[in-house]
Amino acid sequence: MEYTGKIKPIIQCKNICKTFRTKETSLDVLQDFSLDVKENEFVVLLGPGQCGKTTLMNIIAGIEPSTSGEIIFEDVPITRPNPSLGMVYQTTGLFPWFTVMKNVDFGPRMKRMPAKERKEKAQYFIDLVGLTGFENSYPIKLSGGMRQRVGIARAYCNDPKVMLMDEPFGHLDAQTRYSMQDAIQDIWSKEKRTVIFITNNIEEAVFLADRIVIMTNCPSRVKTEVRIDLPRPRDYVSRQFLEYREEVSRLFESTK
Amino acid sequence: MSEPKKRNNNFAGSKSEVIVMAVFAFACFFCVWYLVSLNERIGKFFPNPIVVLESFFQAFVTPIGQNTMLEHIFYSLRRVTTGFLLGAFIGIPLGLVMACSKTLRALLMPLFSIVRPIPGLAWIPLAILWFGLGESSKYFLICMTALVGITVQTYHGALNVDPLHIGAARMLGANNFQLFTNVIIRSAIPYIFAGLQGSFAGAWCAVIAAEMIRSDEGVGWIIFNGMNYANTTQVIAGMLAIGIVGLITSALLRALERSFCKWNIQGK
Amino acid sequence: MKKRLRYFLLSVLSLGIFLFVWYLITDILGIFPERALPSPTKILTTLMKKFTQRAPDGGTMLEHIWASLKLAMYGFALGAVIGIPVGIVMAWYRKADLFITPLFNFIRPIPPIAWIPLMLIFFGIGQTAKAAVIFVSTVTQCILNSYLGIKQTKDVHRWVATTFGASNTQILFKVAIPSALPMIFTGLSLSMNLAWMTLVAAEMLAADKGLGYLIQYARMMARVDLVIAGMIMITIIGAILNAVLTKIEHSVVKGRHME
Repeated sequence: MEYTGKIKPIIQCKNICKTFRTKETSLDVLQDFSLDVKENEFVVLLGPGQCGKTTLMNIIAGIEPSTSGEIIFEDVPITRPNPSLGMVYQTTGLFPWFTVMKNVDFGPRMKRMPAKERKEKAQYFIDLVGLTGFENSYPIKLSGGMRQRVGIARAYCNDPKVMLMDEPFGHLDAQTRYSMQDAIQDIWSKEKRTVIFITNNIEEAVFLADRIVIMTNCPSRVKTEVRIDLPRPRDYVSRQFLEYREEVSRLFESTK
Repeated sequence: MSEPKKRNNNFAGSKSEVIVMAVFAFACFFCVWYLVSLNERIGKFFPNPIVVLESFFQAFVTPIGQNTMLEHIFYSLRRVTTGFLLGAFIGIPLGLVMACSKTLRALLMPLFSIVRPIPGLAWIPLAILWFGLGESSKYFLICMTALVGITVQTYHGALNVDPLHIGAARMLGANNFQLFTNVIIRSAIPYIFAGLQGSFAGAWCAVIAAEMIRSDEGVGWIIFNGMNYANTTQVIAGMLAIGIVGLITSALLRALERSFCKWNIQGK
Repeated sequence: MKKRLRYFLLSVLSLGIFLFVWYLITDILGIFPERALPSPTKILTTLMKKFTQRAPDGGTMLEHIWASLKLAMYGFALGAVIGIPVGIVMAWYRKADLFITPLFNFIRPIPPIAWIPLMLIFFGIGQTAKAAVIFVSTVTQCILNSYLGIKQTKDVHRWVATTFGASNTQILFKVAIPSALPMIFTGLSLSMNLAWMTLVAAEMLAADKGLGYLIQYARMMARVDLVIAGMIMITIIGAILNAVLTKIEHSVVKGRHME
């Protein structure tokens, strides 16, 4: 992977391989997956379903070990969960026994930040994702889209340098999905972080990404990349958008 | 063939209909009971329901044996609460510990598995031999009865924590202790309450049994004493008391669960 | 793999240490008098001997087991045979539900043990009273579980059957009951355990044979070893009954977990 000039990537995947072994079979899920991500870049991993994208996320996050290869974050290999990485899950992973506020300020609470500071910080992110007024609600009372917003706020509140988002809108209906894509674009423009975002939705990828990395089928590796040079905020129906979309679609189909 | 009827399994219907039918059912029940009690032969065993109710309320004023009904209830409740709390204080930590530490589980599980299948009431003779005929043997019995159910449910609750939650907490920087208090215990609370409720019913049974076998007061004693004097009225009054107190304590426990588990609509 | 072996060995070690310490403090060091805590070997020998010895209570272990088992099975079978259909009818037919359920909810909170004195007055000290108590406890539990099982029949399944033209009764037998089977079996297994436990308690109060009677008598003779031997037997039989029920359930309730 070339990177322009001498900008060092903030996070790198180097030849990640992952094999799942059972007594009878072994399944190669990832093979020689390599990726360099620059700081504050919005990278979207686009791949067909069931091809190890979640596994890859877990490896980057340090939750699962790779069979071989390593993840380098700020020059240090990742071997265990690191609070400098924030994760947003497809099923939100919110703590149902905590209110929205207690979910969002969880990270700072673990760091024992003083209460006042913590509350202010959490409130900022709750406002940022548009959930002002819901601080004392329990997740069970919120809609899917709202819960995912809490998940995003929670990840942000811990001050991560890199955000990992694993198909966060996969379980939402189409309408909510569009509004969440808008929300992410908006939030990210106000609070820029490095983002690695997984999806299998081409439109979503073109809408959000600086760079789309298209993955092959199992065993997965990088097939090709497409830079999206569109200014933000983006328009789903502009000519350039549709051109990019067609190109990505073509490349994506050819991986299947 | 006739048109299939639209079945509504909910029977929500009208609330008043439910109440009317219930009242009707009870009325029938009492009438039948009353008529049966008039019969010479069977009436010996089936005292007049009005008499029973009278003596039930009377017992709150005039003592049966040495104590009024309220005092008997108090004795039984005190026993069951002490034993039950003892069982919970041992069982909940035990379940949590066995779920979280593989080493301790390997050490403790075999011993627990020996105790586990022993039916609660089978402990009675041993409890009496070891602790005598006083209160301690009852506490021990109730504790053992409650302990098993509570431990098992707590264990399963702690074991079934969603790995996603554990992963998320770790990513947000939680250390082991924080993980335990913020995630594992919280996640297990609905299970723990299920264990508490289930075990309480068993503990209530244990108290009654213990009081029937050896005691001088308590609701179990009331029915046992009634039996010894063939006083069916007293027996039925006692059974009423046992049922009502059991119901109330269950309802209290459920209310407690609802306040602890606001975040979980289904409750379990 | 190695880790699993390690934990397994740890368990075995734990059990071994437990038995060893027990043996140590009783037989060898004699810290506890025999009358409080007999050594494991003594208990084992008592258990073995009891299979043939009649002393001190007048029956061999087998006779006691058979007496208890007979009674438990009788009450249990009767309770199940009556309880399950009643529960099903209550859940399926509205009129029955409205009429019987309030009465049932009135009887339900009374623990089975509390029925013992009443039954003893009615039937006197004999097998019938105890069987009646077990019957009541089983019937209550079976009604409850069958009722719940039928009540939670999925609407979807009912609608499918109705569109195929099934009558109410057909839906009951072909949809509701099969889908309620797991719950019904849970009820059976709960009743089984309850029946076994209630029986032991009843025998402690008023009987002249049976395992409950055995341990109560042994208690009065201060024979701790016999008490524990009896407890072991009670536990084993209970476990066997459970296992048999589970086996039956597995063969009857097939193909359950599709969703």
